[in-house]
Amino acid sequence: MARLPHSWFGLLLAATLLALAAFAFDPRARDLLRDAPATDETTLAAAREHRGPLLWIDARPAADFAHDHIPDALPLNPDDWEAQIVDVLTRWQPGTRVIVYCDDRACGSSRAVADKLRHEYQFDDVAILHGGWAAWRKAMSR
Amino acid sequence: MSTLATILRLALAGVFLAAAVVKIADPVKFHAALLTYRMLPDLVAAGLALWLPWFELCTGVAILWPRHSRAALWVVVALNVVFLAAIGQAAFRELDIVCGCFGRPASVRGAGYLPYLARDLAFLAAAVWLLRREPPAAVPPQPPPPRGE
Repeated sequence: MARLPHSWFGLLLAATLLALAAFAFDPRARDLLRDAPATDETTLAAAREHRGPLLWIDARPAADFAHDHIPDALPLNPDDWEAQIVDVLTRWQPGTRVIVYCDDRACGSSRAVADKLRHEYQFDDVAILHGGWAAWRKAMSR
Repeated sequence: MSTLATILRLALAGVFLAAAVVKIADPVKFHAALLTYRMLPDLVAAGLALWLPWFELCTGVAILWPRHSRAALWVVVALNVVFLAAIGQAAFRELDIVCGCFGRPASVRGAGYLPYLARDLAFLAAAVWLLRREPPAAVPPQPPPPRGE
């Protein structure tokens, strides 16, 4: 049996070398430094270029939605799901691109709402807005 | 080694390998999940999103490698203490986080934190049990120093 510090050093070294190799050869790893959207995200620019039916979903708390939101967005957050999903199901049709947003990059509810719509309601085209409401506000203030 | 110990060892290794593969496949998504904990600056979180999955992968392999298994189990203990602290602070601050653990996201808040805390406690308990059950190999006795001539 190897001495513990030797094994720990080996683990740290192996992980660091593999991570560096990933950074060198895997473009997805280099995206970490580019503020690139994740595979389940879309940018505001791409959303604006989308031709076809588009449904914005606001996953922030109801009070924040009431204060302000993206035009035509529907509220749908995990806390008020049962009350709010009815309107979403009424508006949604097959082929509609759904884009979910919450406050910013550091909020989790948009990802959870998008996942639930995909897997429990079989929505076929759901993305998360990269940067969320903060990105929209920033774009509007320019 | 008992059957239970073998099963636990395989399960821990499987959990770490599965968690690692999902994160390596989409490091940007894992980075987004890390940001929801609001603990680290963006650049540090990006570095962690790149490195931690590979560390989990190496740990998963080492758990199954008898020569390094004990060290890997200590890493499992340390990592789960860190994960518990991260989820605990998020629960205390009532943050809206995505676990970032195994790919499928779940918005975690309120009582939703409990399953995640319970799961990490179970991994921690399994690793501690395995460490206690298999004490470190005894150091072979040193031969007595030669007597003076």
